[in-house]
Amino acid sequence: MSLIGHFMTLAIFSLSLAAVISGYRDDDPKQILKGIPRRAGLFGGAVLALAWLSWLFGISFLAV
Amino acid sequence: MTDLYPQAQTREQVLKAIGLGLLIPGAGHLVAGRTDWALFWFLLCQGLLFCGLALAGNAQLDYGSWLSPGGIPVMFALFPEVGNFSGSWAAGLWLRSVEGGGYSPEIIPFRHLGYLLSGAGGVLAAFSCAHAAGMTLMKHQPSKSGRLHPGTAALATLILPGFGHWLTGRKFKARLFFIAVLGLFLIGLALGEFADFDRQRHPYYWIGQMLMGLPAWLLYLPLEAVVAKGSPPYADAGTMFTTCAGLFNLIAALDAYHRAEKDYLSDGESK
Repeated sequence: MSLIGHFMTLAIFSLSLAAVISGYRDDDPKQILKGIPRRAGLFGGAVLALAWLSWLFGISFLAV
Repeated sequence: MTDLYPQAQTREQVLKAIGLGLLIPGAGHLVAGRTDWALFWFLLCQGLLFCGLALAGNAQLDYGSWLSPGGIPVMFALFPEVGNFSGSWAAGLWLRSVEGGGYSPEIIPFRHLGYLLSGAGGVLAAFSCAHAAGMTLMKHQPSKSGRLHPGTAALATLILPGFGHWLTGRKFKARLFFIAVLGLFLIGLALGEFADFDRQRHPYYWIGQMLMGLPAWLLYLPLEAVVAKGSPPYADAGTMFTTCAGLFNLIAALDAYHRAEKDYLSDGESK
């Protein structure tokens, strides 16, 4: 397991999720293509933010 | 473009068809006046469920539990078989697993074939409701141009992700769903070294995996023989990918139904 592996799995899942949700929300190919990077970024960013918070807690007041 | 909806009276009948179809596979088609389809779905879904149960020595029942408010056995929660509500209810009430709740493991030669048949039967039973809804729409608001009814589009998604969109002429969306859903499923399988599509190892994840439809059903038996070497580092991510791919396929089916319904109504009598 490596950091790159984690990033890759997050990127693949975010893109797939974004593709499905954009496909569900819109019918026009242009709108769908526009929505995929935005939604993938939102989801991936939220996961990364939570990961960063967890790491921060881990090295601060939750440190053993 | 404004969204189109079936007329109020049609919507009532469609909901009736879905409700009846959820209780007894095929019953929803009776609302559409299609006895032939009703019989087909009833025999297919009950046949798959009870053949599957017989082949696996009813061992599926160990994965389910009764929801019995006030001591009344309302629902036998065995997923995905519960898509065939009446069949799974009857099975839970009258059949017993040869493994006695999992405490007496048995060697059952056709166990996984049984799991596959009963699981696929449950998913098909749930999707038969979409077919019944489409046929009911067709009966109450016939299309003059002979458009594909939405139930067929939803069912086609179960054959291959994106196929329902392909049939309605949405080639871009068909390719998108095909790559996003099937791609995620295959990557997930690869991350788990093709050993994590197994009801006995992951009964809860398996429910989602079965929603992938035909591609997953065809892979289930060949992959049963695969055993992972050690513990694959991304096995958890792989299991989550495959399960989510199944759930994404459900979203694709809902979208295929909705878009096909819009197309159908846009040149039907309700225009």
